[in-house]
Amino acid sequence: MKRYQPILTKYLDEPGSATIDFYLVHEGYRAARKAILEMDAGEIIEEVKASGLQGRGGAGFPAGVKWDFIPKNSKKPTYLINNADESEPGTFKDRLLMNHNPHQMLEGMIIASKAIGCHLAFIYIRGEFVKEARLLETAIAECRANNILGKGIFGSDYNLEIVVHRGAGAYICGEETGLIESLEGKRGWPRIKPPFPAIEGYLKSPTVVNNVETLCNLPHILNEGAAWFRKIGASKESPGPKLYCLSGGVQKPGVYEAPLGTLLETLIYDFAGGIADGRELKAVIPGGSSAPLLKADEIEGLKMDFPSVKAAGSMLGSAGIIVLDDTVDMVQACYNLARFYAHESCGQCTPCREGTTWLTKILARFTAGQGRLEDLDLILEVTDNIGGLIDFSQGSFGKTICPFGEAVAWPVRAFVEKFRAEFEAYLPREALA
Amino acid sequence: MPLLKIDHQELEVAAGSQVLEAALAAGIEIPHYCYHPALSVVGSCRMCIVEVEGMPKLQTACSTPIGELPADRKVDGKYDMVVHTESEKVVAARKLMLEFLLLNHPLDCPVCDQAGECFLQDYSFKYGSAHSRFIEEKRVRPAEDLGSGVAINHDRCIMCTRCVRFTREITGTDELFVMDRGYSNRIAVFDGLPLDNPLAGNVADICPVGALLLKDYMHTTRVWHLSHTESVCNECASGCSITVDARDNKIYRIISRENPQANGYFICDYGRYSFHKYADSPLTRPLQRTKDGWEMIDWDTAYRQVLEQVQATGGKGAVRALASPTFPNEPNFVLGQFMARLSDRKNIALLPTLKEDDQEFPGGFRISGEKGGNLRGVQAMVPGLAAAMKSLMRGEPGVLIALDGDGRAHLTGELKRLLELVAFKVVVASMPSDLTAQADLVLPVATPYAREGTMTNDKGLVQWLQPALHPAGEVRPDWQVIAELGQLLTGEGHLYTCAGDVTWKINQTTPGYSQITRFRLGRTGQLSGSEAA
Repeated sequence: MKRYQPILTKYLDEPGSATIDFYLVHEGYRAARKAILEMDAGEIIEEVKASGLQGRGGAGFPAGVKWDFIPKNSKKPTYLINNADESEPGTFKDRLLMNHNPHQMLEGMIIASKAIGCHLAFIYIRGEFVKEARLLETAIAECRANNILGKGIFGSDYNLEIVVHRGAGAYICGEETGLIESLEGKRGWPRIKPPFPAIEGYLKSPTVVNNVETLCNLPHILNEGAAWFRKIGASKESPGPKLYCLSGGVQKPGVYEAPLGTLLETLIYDFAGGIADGRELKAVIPGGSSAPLLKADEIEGLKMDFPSVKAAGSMLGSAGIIVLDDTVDMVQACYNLARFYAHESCGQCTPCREGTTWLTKILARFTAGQGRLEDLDLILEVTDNIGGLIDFSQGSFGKTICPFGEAVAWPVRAFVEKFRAEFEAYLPREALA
Repeated sequence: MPLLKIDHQELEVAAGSQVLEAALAAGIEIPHYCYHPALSVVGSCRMCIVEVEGMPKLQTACSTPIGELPADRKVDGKYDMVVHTESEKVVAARKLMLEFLLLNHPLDCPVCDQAGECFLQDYSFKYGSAHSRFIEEKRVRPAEDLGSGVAINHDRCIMCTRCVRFTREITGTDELFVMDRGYSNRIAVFDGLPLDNPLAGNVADICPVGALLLKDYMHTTRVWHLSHTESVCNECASGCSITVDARDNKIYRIISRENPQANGYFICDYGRYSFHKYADSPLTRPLQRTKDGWEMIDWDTAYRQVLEQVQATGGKGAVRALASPTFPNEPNFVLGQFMARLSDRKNIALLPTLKEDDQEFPGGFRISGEKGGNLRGVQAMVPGLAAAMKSLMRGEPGVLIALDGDGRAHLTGELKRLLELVAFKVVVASMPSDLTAQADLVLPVATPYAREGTMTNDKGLVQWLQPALHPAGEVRPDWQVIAELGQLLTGEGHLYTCAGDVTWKINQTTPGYSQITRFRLGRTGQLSGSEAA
């Protein structure tokens, strides 16, 4: 098999890759120029639809279809928001893309802006990414100096401004409506839908929220064509390059680029060099901490694309692959996870606010050796009451305003269901009598 | 219009309305906390979840709009939406939602003021579970004073955020906000910026649980001991519908009563706490001025005094009167009627009351600057009633009969001149005031919340005042005192046995009031007509 050539991270290691001079030398802004000067919005949307590009933020929603929801001929302005709030535990790909090649992302933003008719776009960047935020400011200034951003870009009559907005470090502001509220200067509380952001988003105007990695794909789709993009990866339904973030008990943790549909085993054993220190694989969280974990025997032959991981009972999510080796205490890991979500719950709606903390309190008691046998069923029931009965074939049944409820319910449930014996081992002897 | 089916009931609803709105309008109960008809929808309590056919997830009824489906997609061939509120899934989910809400809620109902009118209590009883599976420690946080007489017990709060939205959307003052995140969420005010607006007390009314409390009412009584009297506030010309809660002839609180034609859902704090000023030493017996001050006399002596003074000071033709916007329509009507019979001259004018600027709030609520609450009513009751007292200044000094409901007369220069000019001043009042201080004879009538009759607000809405209290001492109803004075002066008997009899007479004779009867007014009143001359 021909070795896969990285697309998104092609120039990652070259010195100066973050500067506009470097980017322009390497055919940078060719696609954006084409989008602005030669294509109309409909053509861009059709091209991206044809490419089959799915959102890389976690949900895997087709990007072109999302753009198409924007009402045509709306009297209100349209906004593009680049979701750079990368806050899912186990995920660190967007940071890399911004750090080493910010212009690729900005070019993607120009293309997306043209597609939806946006003249003011935002980058909502995670507050902790101080260096990246500065880098982006520099990159935007470089673009303005080169007539790539600002008034009449590339000599056309198209105006586009990009504003960097730093978040304040809340996980929930990665959820698109929470992000929009935060961008409006309000508390990051997700909105009830409908209306969806495409109809009423930022300042009640049509808004598209795209992930950094999604946007980074756009220049390549326009340069090489939708047909080329479709061919990348194992499945035509879920094509394209993907950044996988490997962390946990592997030899060489890090971000690796490979096509969608790459075997999870390849990623762990080939790319990341296998399990660290000669230990055994116990389980894998395949798509960031909110994806249910898979046991070692469940990942055999698992292709890492949206439909395949879903079929295996988890989700590709942000492709934050967290590898748990045989030294990991599953009860502690589950407690840690639950505590994170209880801390990050925005507290707006009842099941999430109350349920996440209840779960955490039960698990804390468990880890302190004061669990009761009936607590295990109680945990399962509480997760159901937050995240709805879990049936992947039917979609989600969460009872909360936003998907956060599911994001905590699914993984906790998976921990308890798949490693029940470890939980039982934590019970005091009298509880088992 | 879309056809909605909720359980077994078919409803035609306006397109775009939400399921919860439609259900409540049709009298179908769907339990809810965060939804309030006057506030924006946030869908956060998740209590109103229902099952909608064709949607896999349970939906919050407050945020599920009903649209019209194309003919071929209608459910069962005719419905645009089919909603189940009692299906197995919904019943289970609701029960679990209540379990969540009660996890950290202290079960301190025996000492909670809200007990008895608490939605958490009611829904738990109706939809919840009798025992909890929560064995961890409950969250305990100290109570706080938010300002404007409102305190918060954080432990009881269920984070419905009605109060926060109230200060954002209704008063526009933004004092309240949600502090901290998730489980630590709590309602708070900023340091040094307490709750400070004239509608603040409403946050306690709209709190569905016992979290927000009026310090004025706190721990004073239990709600089931109170009798609830539906009445009208007459502190200003807005004429808000209120419920007066009393026990053992003492008012404990006044709360807002929903009336779309008048106040909507809220009342102001002036009205809310107004009962205190009337509780303090109201007039109880007729008072006569003597050399050394006041002497209590009986009614017969008082009336004899009036008659003697009228005969001694220029006769019936010299009697003058001031009608009052602080009184209901009935006494003013009777006054107007008999004054017209005493003389052809213009012998009646309007008692001046305080006039300030209106206070308007972003949510549409208005506190009228007209402090004579029944101004529009008085003007209708006494045709040709002049605000100026010029006509009263002419002629020989006679007897003045001034109606000053509850000490709210505004002593203008003109009024002072009139008081100096007349020979004998009879003031009909419920409370001592600057005006009664200048009287020669004071005739006591019932205080506002012990009155019966009708009031007309500045939009022309006529509402019925129900007495919440029995008048103290020898106080007589206002319409009766005026009718008796009329009998005395005209020598003609009257046939009124209750305020309603006067209302009937008003209905028969007053332009614009032909639709107004005691029973047609109901709970929310009737607009008086425009047939007035």
